[in-house]
Amino acid sequence: MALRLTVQVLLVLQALLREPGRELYGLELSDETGLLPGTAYPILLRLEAEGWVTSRWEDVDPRAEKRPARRYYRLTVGGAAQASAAVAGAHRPSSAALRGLAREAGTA
Amino acid sequence: MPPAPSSSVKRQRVRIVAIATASCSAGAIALLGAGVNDLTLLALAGLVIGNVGFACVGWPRGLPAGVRHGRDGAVVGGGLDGEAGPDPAGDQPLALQAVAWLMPPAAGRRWLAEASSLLFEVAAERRKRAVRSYLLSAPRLVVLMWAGELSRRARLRFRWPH
Repeated sequence: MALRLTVQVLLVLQALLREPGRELYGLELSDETGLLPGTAYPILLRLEAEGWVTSRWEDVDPRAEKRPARRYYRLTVGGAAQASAAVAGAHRPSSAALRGLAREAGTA
Repeated sequence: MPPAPSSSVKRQRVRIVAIATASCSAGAIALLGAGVNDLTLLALAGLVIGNVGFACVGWPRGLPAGVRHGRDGAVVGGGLDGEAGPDPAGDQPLALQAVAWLMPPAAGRRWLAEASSLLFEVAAERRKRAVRSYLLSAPRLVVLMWAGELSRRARLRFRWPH
């Protein structure tokens, strides 16, 4: 299934591209993109299925850390190149799309 | 006077009562449909005991339903294929558990573990919205996950005919 580059997908890619080697977990991605976590998750799954992104569970003892393990995502080498090309080639989002995003970010 | 139970203990109690009630209701419907005999009564008793037992597994330690500590102290159950799962003290909203149950098992466990992990860290005022966003995206996700799972199974069957 071909990846559809929606505005939300581009936002996730831009967040991951800021520091391509850096791993981000769901909450960080949500904060950086302004997307709600339930919106970001299917995008990450699709990016992972396409091989653009790889993920892993954090290797920590939840009881010692007093929080659950996080799922970290980062761009693969090939994914970073494809994501850069996709973001560079993306058209400027329409004002309606931007308004929609601004509304969603406002409720995140 | 014993100390008041914590909110997670209360939630766990509610969960156990809900599971017992759901099991009894499902069993009663099955009894009405299949007729009362020793076998159906035994099956009903097994269903109720099994479900309530599953819900109670981690209760004494305040773990979510079906999650317990293994011999080495690691969290067992609820994770993705044996990987680290939700936090022992974490809370999994019933609605999310129900949605995860509709997904393919491995994908459902991962989704639930990840959602629980995020909800544990999200600020209280954003929690409801985050839960709602997970629930809103769930129907499409369930369909997508099953489509992926079925195509994966079909590919495997095609590759290794019996």
